[in-house]
Amino acid sequence: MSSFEVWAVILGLTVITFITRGFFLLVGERMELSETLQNALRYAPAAALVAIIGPEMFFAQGSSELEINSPYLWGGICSILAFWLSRSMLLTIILGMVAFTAIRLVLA
Amino acid sequence: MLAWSAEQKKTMRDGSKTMSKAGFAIFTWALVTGMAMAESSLTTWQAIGMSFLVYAGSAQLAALPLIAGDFPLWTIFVTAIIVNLRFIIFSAGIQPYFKNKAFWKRSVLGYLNGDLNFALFMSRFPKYQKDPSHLPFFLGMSLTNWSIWQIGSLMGIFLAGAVPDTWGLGFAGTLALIAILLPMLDHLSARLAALSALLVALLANDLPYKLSIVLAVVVAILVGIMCDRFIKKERGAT
Repeated sequence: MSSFEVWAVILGLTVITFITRGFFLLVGERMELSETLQNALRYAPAAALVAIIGPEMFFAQGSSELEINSPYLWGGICSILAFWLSRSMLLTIILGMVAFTAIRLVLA
Repeated sequence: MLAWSAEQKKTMRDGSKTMSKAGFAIFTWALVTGMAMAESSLTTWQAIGMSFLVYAGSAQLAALPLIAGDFPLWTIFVTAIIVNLRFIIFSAGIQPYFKNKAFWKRSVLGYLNGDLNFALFMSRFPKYQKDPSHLPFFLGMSLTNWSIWQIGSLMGIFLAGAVPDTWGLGFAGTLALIAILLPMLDHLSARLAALSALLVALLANDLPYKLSIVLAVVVAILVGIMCDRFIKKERGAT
């Protein structure tokens, strides 16, 4: 791809970020969202996070094979336990990474 | 911004602090994205340009192999739009809070409304009511998010190759997301909705373009609404 084409891609992607992120904000006052729809959207953020986290924990990188013996799965489970016990984000990350690294070294 | 009350300025700092709690997640994600850009076919200036202009991690990561593979431009754009579909849903979520602002303000706010920004904003203000703290809180969060992202991304671009992949630094970002997610699951409907989102995301993982995320969000919304209705009915019956 030529340098010109790469910059065209970058500018095109910029416009796409702008339009998708702003979509309903850009159409502005002309559209009202019903209360039902607003209530419904409350479940969207957690679902999107789950959909990003889930595959990272359960699948080997770049595949859709369920992997039980993986540092990702057990690291994730340890961090969930750490959060329940401590309610601290830092401990959640540190204990999860410690478990992840320990299992990675054991399995290696 | 200059005409803001002391209360609103305090809210902006509050928003900034709220986002900082996820700072580590944002930073590691940005670092990983920066490294991926630097290791792809982009030049350093193109990587920097992409980071500052596109400002959408998953769309950037999706576009890289397509650029390297010399795909037609329209394919890359269609891919990016589908990866970004979730943002259209998010924009509907924040629309009631900002619909009376000037067009240019709405454009900027939309551009800054990434995954974390939306999630944290909606959990802080779940229901729309008139409140002067929406804008300062949103800006405090989104500007903090933008700054941390750009710092991480630039460091990734310049440090690429120095950190071994096996350290799994990107996974630290996922763990931070877990700490952001769990407090949101504070009632039964939310938990069942999230559980169904997990199942859908795992089963639909083979779908291209991150469509699994869109599908998981749609199913979670349906499950959440059905649970709410069922619980209401049960309460009404007893």
